Amino acid sequence: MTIAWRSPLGLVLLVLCTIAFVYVLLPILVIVIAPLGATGYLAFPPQGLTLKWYQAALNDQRYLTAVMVSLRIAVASALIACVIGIASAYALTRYEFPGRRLLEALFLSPLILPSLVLAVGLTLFFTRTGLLTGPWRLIAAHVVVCTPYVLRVSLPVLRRFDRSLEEAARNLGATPFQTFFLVVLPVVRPGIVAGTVLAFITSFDELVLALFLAEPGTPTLPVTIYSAVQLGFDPSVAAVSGLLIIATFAVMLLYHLLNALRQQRN
Amino acid sequence: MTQAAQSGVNGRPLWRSALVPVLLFAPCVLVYAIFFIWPQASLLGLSASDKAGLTLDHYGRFAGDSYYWDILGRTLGLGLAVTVITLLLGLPTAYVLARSQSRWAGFLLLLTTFPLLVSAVVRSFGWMVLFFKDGLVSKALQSLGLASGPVQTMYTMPGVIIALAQVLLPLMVLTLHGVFKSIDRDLEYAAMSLGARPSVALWLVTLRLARGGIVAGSLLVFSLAISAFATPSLVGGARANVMATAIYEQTVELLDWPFGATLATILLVTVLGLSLAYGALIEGREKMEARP
Amino acid sequence: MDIVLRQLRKTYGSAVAVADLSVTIPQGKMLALLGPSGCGKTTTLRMVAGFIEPSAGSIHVGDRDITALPAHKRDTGLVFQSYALFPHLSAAENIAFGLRRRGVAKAEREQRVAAMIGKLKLSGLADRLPRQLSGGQQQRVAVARALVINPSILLLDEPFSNLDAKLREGTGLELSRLQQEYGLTSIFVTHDQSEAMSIADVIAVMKDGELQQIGSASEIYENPANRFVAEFIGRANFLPGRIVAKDGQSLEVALDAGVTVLAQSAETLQPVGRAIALLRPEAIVLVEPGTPQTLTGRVEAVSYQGATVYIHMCLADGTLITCSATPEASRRVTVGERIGLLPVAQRIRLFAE
Repeated sequence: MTIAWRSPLGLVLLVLCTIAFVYVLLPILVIVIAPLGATGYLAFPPQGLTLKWYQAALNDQRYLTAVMVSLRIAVASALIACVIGIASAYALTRYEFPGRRLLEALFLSPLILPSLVLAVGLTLFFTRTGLLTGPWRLIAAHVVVCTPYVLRVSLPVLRRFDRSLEEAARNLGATPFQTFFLVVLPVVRPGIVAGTVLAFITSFDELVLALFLAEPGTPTLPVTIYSAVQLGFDPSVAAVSGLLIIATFAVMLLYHLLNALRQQRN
Repeated sequence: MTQAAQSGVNGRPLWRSALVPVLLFAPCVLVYAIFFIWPQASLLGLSASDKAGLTLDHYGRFAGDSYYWDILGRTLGLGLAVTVITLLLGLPTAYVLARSQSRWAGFLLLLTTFPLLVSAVVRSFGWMVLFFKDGLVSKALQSLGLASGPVQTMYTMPGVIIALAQVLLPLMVLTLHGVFKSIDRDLEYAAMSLGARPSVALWLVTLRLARGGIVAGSLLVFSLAISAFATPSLVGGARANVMATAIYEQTVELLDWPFGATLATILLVTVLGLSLAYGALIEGREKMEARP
Repeated sequence: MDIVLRQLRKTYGSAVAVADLSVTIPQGKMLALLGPSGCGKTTTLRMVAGFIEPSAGSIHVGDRDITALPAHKRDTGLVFQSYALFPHLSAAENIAFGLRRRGVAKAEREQRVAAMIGKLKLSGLADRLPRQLSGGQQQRVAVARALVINPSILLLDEPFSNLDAKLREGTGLELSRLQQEYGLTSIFVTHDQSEAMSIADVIAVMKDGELQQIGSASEIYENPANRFVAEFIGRANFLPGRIVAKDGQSLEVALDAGVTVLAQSAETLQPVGRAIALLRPEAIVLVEPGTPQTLTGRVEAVSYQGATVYIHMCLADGTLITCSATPEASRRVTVGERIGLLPVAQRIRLFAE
């Protein structure tokens, strides 16, 4: 170890590090723990101990509907972003042509675009053109913000992909089409899965575009929570948020455990 | 044969060899053209026109009203404050996690970055509970003797800064962690073997080499901080108005879409300018490194 | 089936990667494309495999012109330098890949894969993934995968460069035995001259996209077409001199080092002019110092290689020269000693300077 953790410098680093941990995790813990309180308003630390707010959240039709809406939109957005993102990422890494870097920069640019700017532009665009109906407006918007995530994860994986594998497949009699599906896709699969999961989470968590573009009457989960929080500190909102955190944490842990297991098996 | 080679590959016309890449790019290009470039262009058009035609009136209204300058200033101040806080906490955290050999380091990195997967709405909500007049922050300040009565952190700029820095800190840690991991640890040992104290080695070697990554992470956090909506809107409310909340107010609440589009364009140009500066910086660095 | 490359050419803009290469490889023979990196040997192989489109010229296998055929229809077995084993498929699945693409029925496929696994001593490793195999095992899977499809020709792209020195020779001989057993016409790309000399029937030496010389290992070693080939294949001493007379095939050269020798040349050289003489280490005999018609050198170092010993010497004018000797002869030599060097006339080759 370069830095002796017991030296003054090491101690300063460790203290700052600890502050950062507490700081990052505190509001998340608050949301998980606060609804356990028995009071009718949110307090931290909670007073008393009850699961009734969590129960109420699970039984609240509003939230269940919102979760379903968010799930549907996130699944559709992530899948579309995955397909069009992988096709472009593959072409970006396989073909050399003038303007390739510019095209790549364009595809990645929604990453830094303020979503509010995109939301205002898209709302204007949809009202003027009347294009798309129902959930498809929001899905289109989410595809634009999710595709860069798919690209960002899959581009380096595809660049690292050993092209002689493709040549070997062709040499053994596989058509370009078969080569892509039998060799390229299986080998880069972890990158594609990671990119698609990231796209799913981005869409599921997204607030601003959903505020502007969600179908009236069927808001997504972030919009529902956002509206409820503005109205007051109802513990059941916190409970819904807490459930969301717990579910996210569980999924993340599972993902990493599976990865670790697979690596161990090999 | 030579003729065949000139007219394309093996006599195949050029358009056929370009067919596959064009088909692969088509869906993405189509989606971006319709749902990204076109709307952004019409946003730009709306901000610079009224019923009569082209005009810069909306920009004039922005320039002539100190209220909007305040908002822009507040937004940039928010970005700066958030960047400084995330750097201050992110640098040591990323460094310790990158250099630690503990088997827990990976798990701790996961724990630090996990909040990124949780919606900013939920995380801001957590701060609201803490910031409220009867919340933990107020009580802590009072018991430390730093405040005599209940402290209201909700609906203040400091509140927004603290909450937004927490929202963006994991991103800073993640960026810097990658940077520190890519710096060979032996360089620090080499510096120390040549007589540098650890703090000097850290300053002269590691931080110097990480400079590009630190700038990149800072620009990313700054860009996201000045574009953030959920946190300023929930924690700051109407009293801590920033560009994003002002755009929301103009469009959704006041239905003044042309002026909303103007504010949006100004925000967009600011972010774009930053990322172009970043691009130029990266390019400059690559050129420096390419030099023999 | 024989392979015929006719005026094969590949250019990238103004850069010529392969310049009008014409080679015929008779049925069942192995051709080694030998040369330093960037000489066009790999480009040639990849044109035959169908990964690079030739700018001009044609490639024929048997009576088929395959120049315009896409790679997957060429029916060539190719062993890659990196082996290019599919990392997500087991050894057996890798071997079966080409058979599946050819629609070979399951029963026959399994039987052919099993036979190949037995032949390449891969029994017990069939279900392993490539990363669970050693380098040598990976190489055998790659060979099995190329051979199991009964290709019309076999292409080898530096197949031994990732093996350690000990494995190399055995694998090379094994590969050449398999190639002969299957009667496969082969092209073998390498930058290692000893590899090429030990397993190829014909060697084509290339430089800057141009064919320098083609012939058997002994032809190329003993009668190199030019100075580049002489230097690239085997050890060589070069001594400058002046041609003083021409007598039929033989040229009389006065070496600057002080002796006059007879030499042959593949190039057309005229008397009275500068030239450079090639003396292989074994074309120099060690004699007593002061013997007439000999050079005198001072022994700088003696390098023992087992069957042969190389003695490095310095001539009076500072030229370094290496000659080979048997271990017995070398025992009489001590470092610092002066020694007489007698060039063997029949083995001296002359090149334009």
